[in-house]
Amino acid sequence: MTSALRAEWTKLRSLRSTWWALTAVFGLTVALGAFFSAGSSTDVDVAGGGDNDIVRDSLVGVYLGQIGVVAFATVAITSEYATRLVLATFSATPRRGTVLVAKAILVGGTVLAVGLAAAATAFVLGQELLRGGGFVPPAYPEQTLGDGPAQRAVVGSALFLCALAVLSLAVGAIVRHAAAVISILLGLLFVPLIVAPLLPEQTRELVQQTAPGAGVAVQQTVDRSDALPIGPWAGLGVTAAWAAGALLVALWLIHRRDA
Amino acid sequence: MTAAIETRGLTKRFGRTTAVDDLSFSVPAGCVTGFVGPNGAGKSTTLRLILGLDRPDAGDALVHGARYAAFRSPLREAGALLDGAGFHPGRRARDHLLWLARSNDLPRRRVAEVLELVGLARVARRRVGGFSLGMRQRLGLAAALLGDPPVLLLDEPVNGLDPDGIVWIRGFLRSLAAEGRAVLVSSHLMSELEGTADRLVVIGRGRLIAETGVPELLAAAADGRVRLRTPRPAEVMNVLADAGATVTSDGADELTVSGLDTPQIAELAAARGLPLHELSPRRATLEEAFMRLTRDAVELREGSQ
Repeated sequence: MTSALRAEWTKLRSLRSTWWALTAVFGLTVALGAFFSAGSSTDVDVAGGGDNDIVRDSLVGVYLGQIGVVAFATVAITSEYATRLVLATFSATPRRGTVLVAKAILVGGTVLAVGLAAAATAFVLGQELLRGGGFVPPAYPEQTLGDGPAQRAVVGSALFLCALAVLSLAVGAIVRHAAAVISILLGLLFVPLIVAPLLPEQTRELVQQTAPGAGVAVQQTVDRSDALPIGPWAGLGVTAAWAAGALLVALWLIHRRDA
Repeated sequence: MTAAIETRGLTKRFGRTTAVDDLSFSVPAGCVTGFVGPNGAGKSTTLRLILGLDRPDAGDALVHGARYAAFRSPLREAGALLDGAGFHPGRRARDHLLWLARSNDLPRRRVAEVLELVGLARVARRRVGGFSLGMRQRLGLAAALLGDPPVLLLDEPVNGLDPDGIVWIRGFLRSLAAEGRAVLVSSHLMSELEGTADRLVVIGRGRLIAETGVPELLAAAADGRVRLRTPRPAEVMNVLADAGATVTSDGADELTVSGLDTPQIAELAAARGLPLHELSPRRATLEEAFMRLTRDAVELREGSQ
């Protein structure tokens, strides 16, 4: 496993596209968060506290960042099939499952690190901008990275992106063609967001509770009507379960098919 | 002694097509074995099956008596240059070899050594996307040699090489075999293997047509014909025909003779005072030997249907 990890890390770091993709994930997450936070304002005198979720608002850029994550993680495997590099990979390491797990660890790990940096930056920047828009105590108590719910939202956002990376990699290993994989993933992530409002309540809740995007619930710190009908950690667990399930299918298939 | 490579009843189907059909052959150490057949004969598929990249429908392929996929450090056991195996265009040549080295715990210095060996040391830091076909072939060869393996499988290694490169690779393959390695080289052109291969495994439509040594094949294809040049072809023709030979004219001053060997022809001409400018046994080329072999095989198959 160590040699597979070292080989895959050499592959990953030796491509400029890796660094562009990770920069894009960071940039998109921070930029959209800042844009949204800067554009939000409220009346200062809200009696009894406001109901805006200012933690979640500052992390809204994760919606955009996840597109970068999907692209990065998908291409990490589909490019090997597209260039037929995969023949060299599986000749060098015939234990294909080991290769896939090594890729999952490294792609997941880099996304986790970048996601953490992006979410923390977006949060700090966003709180600053939101305060400028009138989200100030007492209606909106100051939130810092040291507070439990804010911390959970920031770390959870990174974990959500990490799970999404593993899911994308696994679907990439199953489907092998980048365009198809990215379409599938973006469909799984965004179709529920679009159709949910049109569905009857019970179906809507079921979709929201089981879609791979349920993990963004980890950002919620205020109980609002537009919140996802699932708890923060439970939501993250749903995304993780999708990732684990897809990875198991990919591992099962990878030895049974021709390279 | 275990063969370096051995296939037994190897069979692979893609849908309704049988790409490799009950193929059994072996490749010994210390010589270059040519793996020949027309395009689509199943050569590349066979190599992928040996490397465990495709799953056979029947039979098996062994490298030194074991399945390739069972090796812990396969690059030390067998190196391969596969047709169509690619590189990521954005990766530097050196980094491509470095990840391969890491995957099999090979020392990092091997990367510089094999780049030197194939003549790519100067472009080690360039991205593969800018490489010519010939440079890619050399890089693929470097990758195959990375683990210093006793067995090499090279799929159409001459493809894309310039004339210098072709001369170079022939010498290189000979030297690899002289070091005691088993070298299996595929080609769809028999002429490419002339002077390089010691043995031949010939396949057509996924089936074994012949497994033979090159000298035996050439001997079988040589038909005892003799070629000569003379300024007086008409008279020479008469003399030889009278002696019982079959003579055909190939040009103004060229004749091809069968039924007499070179000493007999020379003595007959000398006795009549006829000058000969050239006299040589007509040797079959590998290409001709191959054509004869595959023609027979095709006829056999058509006859049996």
